[in-house]
Amino acid sequence: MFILIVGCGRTGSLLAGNLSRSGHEVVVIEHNPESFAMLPVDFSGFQIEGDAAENDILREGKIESADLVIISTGNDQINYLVSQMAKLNFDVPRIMVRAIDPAVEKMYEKDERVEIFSQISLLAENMINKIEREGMR
Amino acid sequence: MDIILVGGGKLIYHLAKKLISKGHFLTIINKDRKLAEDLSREINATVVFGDATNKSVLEDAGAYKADNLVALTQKDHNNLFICKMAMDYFGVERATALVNNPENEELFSTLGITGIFNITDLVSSIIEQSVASDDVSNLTMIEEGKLSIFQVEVSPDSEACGKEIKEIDLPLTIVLGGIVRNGDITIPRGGSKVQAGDKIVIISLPEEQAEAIKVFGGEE
Amino acid sequence: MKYKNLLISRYYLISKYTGIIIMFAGGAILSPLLFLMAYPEEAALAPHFLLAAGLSILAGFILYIYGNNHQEEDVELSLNEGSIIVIFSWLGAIFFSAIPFVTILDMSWTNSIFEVVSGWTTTGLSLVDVTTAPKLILIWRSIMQFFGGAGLAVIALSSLLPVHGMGLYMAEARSDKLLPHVKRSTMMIMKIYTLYTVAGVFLYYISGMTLFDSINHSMAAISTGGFSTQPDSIGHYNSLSIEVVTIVLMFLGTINFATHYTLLKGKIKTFFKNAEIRLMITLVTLLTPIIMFFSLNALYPRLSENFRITFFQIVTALSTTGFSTISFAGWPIFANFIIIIIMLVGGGTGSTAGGIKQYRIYLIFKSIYWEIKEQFLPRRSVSSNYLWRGENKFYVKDHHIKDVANYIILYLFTFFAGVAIHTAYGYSLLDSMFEFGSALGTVGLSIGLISPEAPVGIIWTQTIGMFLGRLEFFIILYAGIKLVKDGIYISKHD
Repeated sequence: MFILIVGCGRTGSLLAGNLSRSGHEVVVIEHNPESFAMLPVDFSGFQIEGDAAENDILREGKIESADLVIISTGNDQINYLVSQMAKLNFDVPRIMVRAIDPAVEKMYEKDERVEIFSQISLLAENMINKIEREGMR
Repeated sequence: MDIILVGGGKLIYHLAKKLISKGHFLTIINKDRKLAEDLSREINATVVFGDATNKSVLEDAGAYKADNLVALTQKDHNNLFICKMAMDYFGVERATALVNNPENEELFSTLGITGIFNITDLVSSIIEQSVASDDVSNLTMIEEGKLSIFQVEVSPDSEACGKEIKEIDLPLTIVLGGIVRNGDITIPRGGSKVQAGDKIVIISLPEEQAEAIKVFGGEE
Repeated sequence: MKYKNLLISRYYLISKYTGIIIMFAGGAILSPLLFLMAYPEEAALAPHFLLAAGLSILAGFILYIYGNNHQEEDVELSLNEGSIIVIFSWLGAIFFSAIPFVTILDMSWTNSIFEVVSGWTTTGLSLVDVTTAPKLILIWRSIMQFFGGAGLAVIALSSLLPVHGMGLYMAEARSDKLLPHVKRSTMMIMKIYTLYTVAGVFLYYISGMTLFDSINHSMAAISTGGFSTQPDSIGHYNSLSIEVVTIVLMFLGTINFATHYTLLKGKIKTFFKNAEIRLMITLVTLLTPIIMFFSLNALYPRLSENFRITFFQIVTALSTTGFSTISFAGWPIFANFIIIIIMLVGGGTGSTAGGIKQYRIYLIFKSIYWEIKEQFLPRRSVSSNYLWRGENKFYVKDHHIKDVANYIILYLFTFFAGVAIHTAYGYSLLDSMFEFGSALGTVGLSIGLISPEAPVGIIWTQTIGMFLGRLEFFIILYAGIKLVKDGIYISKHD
């Protein structure tokens, strides 16, 4: 698959490294060039330096050929804007978005095309399930 | 009218004063503590200190009760987010966003933001006006160039100089939008007189532009 | 303690990959035997190839098994590990490839290793008498150049073999990514490379070469290698059409693969904005008339002949191929000196060519230009200098320029060292510069210095020069230093 990843922080770089290792074609867009250092040494995809909220940068990242866009910057608002750009400007088949503040989930409630991964909610849910299963000590 | 103003930096100060003087009730949201404090001292409005991308801040500022929200932060993605939240979750009727990147205008519109300030296009046309060395300057194009709004400076040796509007031989399909004289603008009527040095604002089809320029600007 | 285990784990991976590539080289040694179908009379030579291939496959297999069985963790391949793999697989391939030359042609190990290094590095200097050599040997030389031009690491990465990693790709002096995954990128390189080679065979054949010669020359041309089945190279055919085909193939061989990909995708404007394309066109257009009119018009009074010869020789030197249509020994000093400079400049990066590489030369001159330009800009102005690479603008930062400058200095230092060694053996300065520049740049043009009777020291100097030039120095140093450091660490922490 051709995967475009927006944001090369801890999350983005981890995703990029694993997906590239699994054999996918990966392009990473990040505005801070020093963040690319977080990618593993054997990352063989493309690295694009620029502001992902610009159509031209997304095109440089070959968004038109992308099967999947994963948006994982550390800013919920940027993630939202880019997800809408991916959906409306470029009609990407599959869009996954990271959300940090659980309150943001509501923005994507009616959005069928965008899959949201709300990190704090997922984490809390995971921990609570574990606690309830194993009982309180 | 209850208006919530978000962000805007120093611009907010004068903007708020002006709106209040016209009788609006304002609530200002700003995430710079110092600025928020200064505003609260000088302006007769409710000032809320916080980040408007946070729903609880909007709620606190009374978003449920507002008729209008204007997002003037420097980041398009924040303005988009705030306006969407205002409209979808607080039911604010009119949300207006400042847009820096002209490419976002269409996207925001598709997403339902009804009011958009395309500040880039606005400022650039003002700059172009001010640097125009010709007597003619294009102000704007409407509907992808189907309609042209421009401004011509009346030349002393033009056929229109010194005459009243109703005496000037103009193509019927052009509309005179205004006469700018010494910085004041008047809406032209049949009896308005055109003087040398006036700037006439004209709305016309692009094909008629040349004709109109000839009439007011004189022969080239 | 943990670091030692990590190191050892990495060496198991190194062993495994090196083993795989050496086994592949063994397979390559068998490939000339396909031609027995056309030349059954050489069947007696088969055992020699089988022996060499067998030993190579066995050695590779042992390394593979050793590495595979012990490897527990999943380790990443950085450039350092990649360097060791590349160095050892090349050394292994070289050693086993030399066996047929020793056993069939009765050549010394020195000369045999020279020949196969000349093959794998796509140089083209030769110690073999092609008039008496068997067909299998001739085709084997061309096959070595074909595979060497693509690169052992590139072939391994692009194939179904379980070999992965950017570290490996970069170690073999490949830097540009055609596609956003190393396997796809290398597969695309192999596709383009093979396509051009096949087209070359066809073009040579319709220009009048025999099929055997067409196959040999096309492989040697696209790989910018330069081995010929004729003792006087392309000059033997005295055919304008063959020379034109050769020139086209040499250009193709010396163009960076990512740039090829840009062209094949139809982006012609971007292609011509590319730094290396521009430099190549400039150099060829400038130097051809200069050499023609300042030097060679005495030797070739007819304009058409002068142009035909000059242009061909310039292209072969710049692309570092090494085919020739005349003998350089008869040329005036100025013309030969220009050829030496062209050989130093070399071909495109990330292509099959050698030399300092056009991108580096272009960058350094651009850097000088920028320095002068900035002197006339406002003192506090901020500049973003760029040039075109592949399909995109590449913004050049100071450390890029530093890296390139370091490389050029190292290259020139090695060049002068090699020239010094040659002069020490008594050869003239010009001849030494020509011959060693040809070896270091993996060009293959000869001014007549190298021969089977040349001193052993000269032959080894050139062999080492070819190896250093192809692998671009640094990884050899990295591999060597890393081995020493790791060896000391492992033995101290037993």
